[in-house]
Amino acid sequence: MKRKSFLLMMSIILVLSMFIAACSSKDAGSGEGKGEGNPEYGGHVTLSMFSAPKGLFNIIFYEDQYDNYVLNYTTESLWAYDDKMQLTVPLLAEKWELSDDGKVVTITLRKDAKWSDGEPITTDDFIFTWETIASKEYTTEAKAPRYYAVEQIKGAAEMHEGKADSLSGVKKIDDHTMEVEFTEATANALDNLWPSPIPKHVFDGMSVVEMKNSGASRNAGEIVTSGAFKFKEAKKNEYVILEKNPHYYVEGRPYLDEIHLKVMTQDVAMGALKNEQIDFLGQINPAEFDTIKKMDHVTIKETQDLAYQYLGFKVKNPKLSNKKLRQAISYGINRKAMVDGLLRGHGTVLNQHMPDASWAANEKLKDAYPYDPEKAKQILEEAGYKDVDGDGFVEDPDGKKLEISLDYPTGNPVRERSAILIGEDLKKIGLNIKVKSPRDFESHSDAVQKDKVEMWLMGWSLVPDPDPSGIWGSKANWNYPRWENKKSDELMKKAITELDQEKQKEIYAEWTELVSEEAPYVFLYTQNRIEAWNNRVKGVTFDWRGAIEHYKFIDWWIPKDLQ
Amino acid sequence: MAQYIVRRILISIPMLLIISVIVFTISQLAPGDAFTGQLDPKLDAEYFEEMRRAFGLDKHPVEQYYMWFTNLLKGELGISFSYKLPVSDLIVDRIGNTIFLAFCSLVLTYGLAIPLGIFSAQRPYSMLDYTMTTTSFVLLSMPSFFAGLLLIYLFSFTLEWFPFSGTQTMGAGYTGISYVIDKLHHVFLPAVTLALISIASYTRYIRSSVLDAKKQDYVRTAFAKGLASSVVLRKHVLKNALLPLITLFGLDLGVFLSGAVITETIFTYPGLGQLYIESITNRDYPIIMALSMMGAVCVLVGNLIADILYAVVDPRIRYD
Repeated sequence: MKRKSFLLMMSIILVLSMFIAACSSKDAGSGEGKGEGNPEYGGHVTLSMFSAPKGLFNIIFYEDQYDNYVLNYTTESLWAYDDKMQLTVPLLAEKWELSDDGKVVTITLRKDAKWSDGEPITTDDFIFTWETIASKEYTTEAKAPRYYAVEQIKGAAEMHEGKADSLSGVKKIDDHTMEVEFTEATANALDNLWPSPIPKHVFDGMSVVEMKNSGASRNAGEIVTSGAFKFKEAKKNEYVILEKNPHYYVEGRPYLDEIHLKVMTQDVAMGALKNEQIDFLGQINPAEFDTIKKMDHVTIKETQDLAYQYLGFKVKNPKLSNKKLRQAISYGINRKAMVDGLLRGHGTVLNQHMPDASWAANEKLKDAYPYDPEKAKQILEEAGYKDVDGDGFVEDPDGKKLEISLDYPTGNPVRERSAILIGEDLKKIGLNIKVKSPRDFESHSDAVQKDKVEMWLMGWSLVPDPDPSGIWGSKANWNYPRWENKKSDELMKKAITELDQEKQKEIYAEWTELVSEEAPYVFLYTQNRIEAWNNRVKGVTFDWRGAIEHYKFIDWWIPKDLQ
Repeated sequence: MAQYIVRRILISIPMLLIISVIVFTISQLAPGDAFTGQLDPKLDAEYFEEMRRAFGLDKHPVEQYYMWFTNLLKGELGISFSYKLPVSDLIVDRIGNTIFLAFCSLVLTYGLAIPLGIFSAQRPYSMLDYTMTTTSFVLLSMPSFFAGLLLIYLFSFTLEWFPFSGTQTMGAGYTGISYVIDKLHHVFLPAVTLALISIASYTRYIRSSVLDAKKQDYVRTAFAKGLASSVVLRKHVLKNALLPLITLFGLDLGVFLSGAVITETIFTYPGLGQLYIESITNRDYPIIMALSMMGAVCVLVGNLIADILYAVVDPRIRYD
């Protein structure tokens, strides 16, 4: 008896202490209201990285997303997108002008821009950068992935094949003016042109592989940067400390002395935000929104992300080649329930490849394919899908049993649960869907690429340039449905060669409607980009790209008493 | 004895070969390769073909294995697909952290399990003994990712005593003794997480081993001689009960590497375990192969050491 009561007491104490621990979180440093006051200098912000950067801090060679995350603060581009996703903000380029035929752009650089070692940033640096990327060794020896970003410059193909030593399409006029000639006039020539230089005076004379492996690409002390911050210290696999670049050209910026980036798992990052151990948190799950919103010292904001989830059909599979069946499935999935339930409202139902935030979005498709199981059944019936043998599931028009499989990967909890909902919804319209067990992303991706699936779930992350041909071109590698359509190819080609954006928008409207009608995908939803930051950081700009990766981070500041 | 050791080492060689073939086959059987997960609409099929060719992934698996093996004989572990750096560099960067973690966790394990086990055996079936037994079972059944998160919650977020990631304070630039203290401060929670399960099992092991020894005739004789109970405990009971522990150490060598996989991931502690997990998701088989082989060598060497130590501490065991 005595023993039992002791154990009981121990467990009560244990439970109580956990409860008390849960309640005693500190609530210091709450927001100071909206009037942010005059910016003050000094201090640092801390950001989290959910996996370690690979430590290749060279903008033309990196491949890791967290290398990029760090480089974002140390790299200046020619230009940036504005809040409407138009390429209009001048950074290193003071101005740029396209010739009337759209084939030549004349770029004028700022004269006051300097590298972090004090050397001026000139047209030589840009020409050097483009020629490095275009060179044969860049792809074959250094195994780096960015040739696509110079491909459209005249003479790039010759360099890539090893037949030329320089880009015939790039002309230096003086240290701050240059002309770039493209092989053809396209609307997205500037979006595609590689915008960030590497310092010629540092890398000149090295082979491409030497550049990639040199200390100037990897060692904090040796890396020369073009952006507002430079490297102070990088502890491999643990953290990176950036410090103010004293030679940065924007007058009086940045306000912060340092930016600290620390590796921690996503599981603990929210606790670290709460305990004020980090100042910014990105990639927040919708399920955590309300918890973070309750923290007094934190601002949380959301915006539609440039990424979406879809249900794909392998249209060459005889089971799925009937457009009517695909349309019926589009009507038969309750996508609004996914957004309201799984995403808790932090997302949007999608009906096209272009997200709402893009200028190319087609307003007319906003309500295409509303959830309508009756209509779905009717379409199936009309197309000859009838339940012949009375087992509750429809047979195909030839009267044969129809079972369609659905594959999906692990790793995204919302997507995993949506697979189950899709299976349930489609059962209700009489389709026999076999929802497979999820596989890890690489295995899933392998099966999708090799056409070993029938229906599958996946997502895309987009860039502001709306050109969809990389994903939708009939011969494109990434055209996973293997949907081949001449009209679609023509429209995409027409859109890209149309330099007037209003007309381009009309062409994309026609294209999105064609895709919607043919339904090689059911577009499911876009999950909002949700980011939060400690209120001690002022001057934060938040738009379609969020706050953390916004080029206006140079305006971030912290009041003296909170530094 | 020397002959026995030589024979054991010779047997290990074909064993390692077989292990390498099995690991290689499994990593080849996993669907996809290092580039399957890289979905970037800007990269075309040509780029991927070129990369697969550059890394030899377009070759037949047997040929790939042959290349890996001949490189190994030359002392090269290959180039990582995802880091695009020599695997040996990646291992050198991290091995120190893993050894330090394993060492601290061993110190904790032995430092706590021995006194707790003896203490428990001294007062068998008492309330304290029951408490310890219950706690051991709770710890044994607690998955280490859960234990790790619980420790982070209690000691990092609530009490703010210990850091929850990394191996040293960001940008502090400590040197000398404060550097060591900082390292210990960071390794503490991961080491505890890693040690919890072995502390629990060792405590149980030592408890029963001591209880067994106490029932032996020579212990009764010692008491009958009129020796003080502390002397009996030290000279007769513990000596016999604890000697087998030495051999457990050998068997643990491999276990610590496997345990570190989860612990290092939770605490983002940059060691080999974390690298291993990452390389499996990335289908980065040069790393998978190198680390699996290291693990295999550790287990084989550990077993050999255990067997040798058996013979050393227990004269009844002989190898001819």
